[in-house]
Amino acid sequence: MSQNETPESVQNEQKLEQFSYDDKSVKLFIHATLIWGVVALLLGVTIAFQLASWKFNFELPWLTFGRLRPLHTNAAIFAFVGNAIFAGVYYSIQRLLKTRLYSDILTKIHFWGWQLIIVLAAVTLPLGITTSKEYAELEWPIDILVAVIWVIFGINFFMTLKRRRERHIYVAIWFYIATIITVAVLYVVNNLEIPVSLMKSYSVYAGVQDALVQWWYGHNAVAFFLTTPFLGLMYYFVPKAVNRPVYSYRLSIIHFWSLIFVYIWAGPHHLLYTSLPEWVQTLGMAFSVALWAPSWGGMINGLLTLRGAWDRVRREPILKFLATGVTFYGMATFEGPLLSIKSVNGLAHYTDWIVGHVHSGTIGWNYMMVAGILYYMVPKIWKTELFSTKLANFQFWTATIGLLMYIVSMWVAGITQGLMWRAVDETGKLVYPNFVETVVKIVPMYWVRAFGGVLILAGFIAMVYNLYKTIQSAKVEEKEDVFATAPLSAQPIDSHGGSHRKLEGLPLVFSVLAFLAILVGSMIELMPSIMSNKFIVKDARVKPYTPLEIVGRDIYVREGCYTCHSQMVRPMVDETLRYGKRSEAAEFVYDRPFQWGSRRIGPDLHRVGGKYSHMWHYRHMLDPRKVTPGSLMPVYTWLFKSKIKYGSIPKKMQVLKALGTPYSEDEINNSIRNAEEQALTIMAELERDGVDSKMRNKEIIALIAYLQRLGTDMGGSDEVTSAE
Amino acid sequence: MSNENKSKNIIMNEEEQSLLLNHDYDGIEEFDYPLPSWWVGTFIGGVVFAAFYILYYSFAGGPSLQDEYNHKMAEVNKVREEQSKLVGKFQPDQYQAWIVNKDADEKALEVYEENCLSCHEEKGKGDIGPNLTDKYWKNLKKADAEEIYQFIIVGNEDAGMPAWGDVLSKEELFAAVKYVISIKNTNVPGKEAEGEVIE
Ligand code: HEC
Ligand code: HEC
Repeated sequence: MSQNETPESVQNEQKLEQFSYDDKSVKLFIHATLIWGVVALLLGVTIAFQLASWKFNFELPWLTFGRLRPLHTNAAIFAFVGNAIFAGVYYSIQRLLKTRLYSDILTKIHFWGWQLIIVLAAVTLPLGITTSKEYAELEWPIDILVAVIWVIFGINFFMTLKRRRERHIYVAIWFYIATIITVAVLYVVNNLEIPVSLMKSYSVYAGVQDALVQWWYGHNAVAFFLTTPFLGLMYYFVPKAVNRPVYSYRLSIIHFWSLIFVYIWAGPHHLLYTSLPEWVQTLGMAFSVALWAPSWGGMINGLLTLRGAWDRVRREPILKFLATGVTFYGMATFEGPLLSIKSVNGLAHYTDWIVGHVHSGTIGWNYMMVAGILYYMVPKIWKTELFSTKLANFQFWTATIGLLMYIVSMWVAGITQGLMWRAVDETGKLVYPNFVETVVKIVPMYWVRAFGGVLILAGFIAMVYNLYKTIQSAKVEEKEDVFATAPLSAQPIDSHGGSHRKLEGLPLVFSVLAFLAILVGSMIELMPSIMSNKFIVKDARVKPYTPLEIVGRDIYVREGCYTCHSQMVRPMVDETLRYGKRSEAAEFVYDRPFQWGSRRIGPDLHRVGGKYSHMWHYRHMLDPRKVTPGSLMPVYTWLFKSKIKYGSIPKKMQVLKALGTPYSEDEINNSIRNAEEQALTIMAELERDGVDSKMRNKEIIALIAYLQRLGTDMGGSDEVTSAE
Repeated sequence: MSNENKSKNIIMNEEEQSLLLNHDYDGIEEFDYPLPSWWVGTFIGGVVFAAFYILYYSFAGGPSLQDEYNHKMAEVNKVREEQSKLVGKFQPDQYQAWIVNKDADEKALEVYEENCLSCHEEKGKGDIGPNLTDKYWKNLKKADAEEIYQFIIVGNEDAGMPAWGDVLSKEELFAAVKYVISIKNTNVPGKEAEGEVIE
């Protein structure tokens, strides 16, 4: 960029204002992206191997799948992608708005605060400190920190916007605005919880409500953290890198507004066939299908901007990554609506197909875009040349091949397992009544996926090396470049453009409208569940958990059993045959947080209560393969060593009571004795089977109490065949 | 910047020139191409589909998932009832005919290992389930094929023995019975005896 760049509209050269960019902070975010990218991918590869062979759990609590999977998802989304977003947003808004970031201090707080959050997550999640709500697992003190840092980012962003020297805001900025506002709303609403202690809280929502709020959040975390900011980045970096005008301004407008308006409704497609009231499911599916075109609007605008430069796409790594990223975005946003169609969802949900789908988004779209953006930014910002184009090409091919291995193996695994689950023969029996048969069958695909992951990781490491070599070759430069342009006051709002053009000159109004666009769907879907007591019909047979069961449930949450087990028997013939009666909304009214899960690596557990003897569970948790050969469930030896913390029970019950669980004062006062007694009853049976009585105060007993209670209040597994 | 702009103009043809807007953000310009018609088609198609779908299922009485489930479940239950009538009655001649078939031993072992081993352990020495090789029985009055067959079908779910009638086919049940009979009174050391002596 040259020093004396001036828009044509400005004649008066005297009134130019001088400014410089805060690229130091951008550099910091780039370093963080590279470091956390390696960590996130390494974690992904680790848990991929844990599913291929249980031995990779190493019998260590903080290394088991149930605790590492949340760390992987959080690291990938918030640490890797998050830092990349901040780097790209801070780099591009300064240039798009011709101004320096509002406050160097806020930017610093933003940077270090965010890294602190990541470190806290990396410590607490392996320790089992989790709320178990997917991509929102962090406990309440960290939640507060996230909210504060996000607001600081927001202030820094909007104040920069206010201080801009470019009258109209470009489409990239629209997407950034939608991102910042929506993520704040989502994060706060989903994480409302009451603390029990510094590191434990209970969700203010229970059961069906909790599920609905969680997946409104979960889906829109994908929408507004992994998609809208990246569309914004696409709109900046693709035309910059290819040096061509954006394809269609009109398309930008239509797909922006339709995308943010429609996206927010689609969350319930994560809950099809569950106990969520059907009208909400219907809305979720319908809007997901309607989301297809708005999503593809972004893809078209990205790809057609590259039109006329395809020969360069073949040659230049930056363009290769960007074009591939946008293509995978198109693929993932076609697959998404497809998976939202109820009948397809019935087959695919809880299988690896969904896992593959997510990764065609996160690796195909986010990772590829990040790579392209970094290859663009690093040489520019350090004022040097890329160290090696060969290495960049190497990364491109390893990432692409690795990703294809990932996606294809998960299609095969998901569809195979889904079909096996539902296979019923002509005599009305399950063809594969043993769940583990369906697991053993897909383990080879888990190996393929894991090696695909290794390739992706290897490519990333190559990029890190390549970029650090590039940075090393740069001259150390302390002075910032100074630019000059006319002040905002000298630039009138474009009066020839349409009304949207005027709106682009009014960022505040624009932001309010974007906020309203996401509010409509949120309110219509969430409010009835939160406000109306008719939303879930209560059933008197459903009773609150006993004190010991509460402890057991918290252990279940801590160990992340929900990462492998659902607790939601869907209204399907094969599920009734396999698990028992379909789950009813009323059965979850005391579940804080809900534990419906999203993937069945192991069988559904909602009707497991009473299915087996205490001894069966005891053995199974100690060594699953002793009881079920071929199982890939980790061993949980530490539950047989650590003691039940009886002391914490009364406080837990008080919090639950405050949230609406009808415990009496007496029950709370006697809770510890009650728990000890229940433990003794379970112990008595175990002793008959030869277990030493000194196990009576171990955590395994509480977990068994919880498992045996599951799904029993309304008849449980006894009524397997009598449903309708 | 100005260089970039120049190179941009080189690759622009006339149509493009006419569609170029006077927007410039950090050198990024914008065309205003009309919306691709196929895209407009999918857009409208999606919205219309969503509207009709919601109308039909939420307001016009389209079948709920529960309705569909009830319907399918009723069908399967009918089949299952017929089957359980067939399976539920032990037919000694059928059983005798089956066990002399040449694959019977192999099949018996296979069914046992797949379904029973986890609780009754190798050779029936007992673990979570009782030792099946002694002469003590908890649930049987007579340790013959018919009694074993009937018991395996219903199990004793409260005590942890699943009802295999829901899961295994008639042949598989025969196979399981054959295996249990084959280990009867082999007195493999294992879990302590439970129940009454039954000869
Ligand atoms: C890595 C995935 C994984 C994790 C994590 C996991 N499981 Fe499992 N689980 C399985 C698989 C696979 C099976 C099926 C094979 C078997 O019975 O072991 C299973 C089976 C079970 C069963 C038997 C269900 C039935 O109906 O037969 C129970 C009970 C169970 N798991 C409880 C737990 C609990 C409690 C936790 C958390 C402490 C947990 N699992 C964590 C994978 C997992
Ligand atoms: C989940 C564990 C489990 C599995 C799997 C299992 N059993 Fe059992 N079985 C038990 C238990 C527990 C008992 C004892 C029930 C009681 O106390 O009355 C039992 C009892 C029995 C008995 C009666 C023993 C007696 O003393 O009355 C027979 C026969 C039997 N099982 C056969 C089988 C066969 C055949 C299979 C495989 C098709 C099988 N079991 C699979 C747990 C199991």
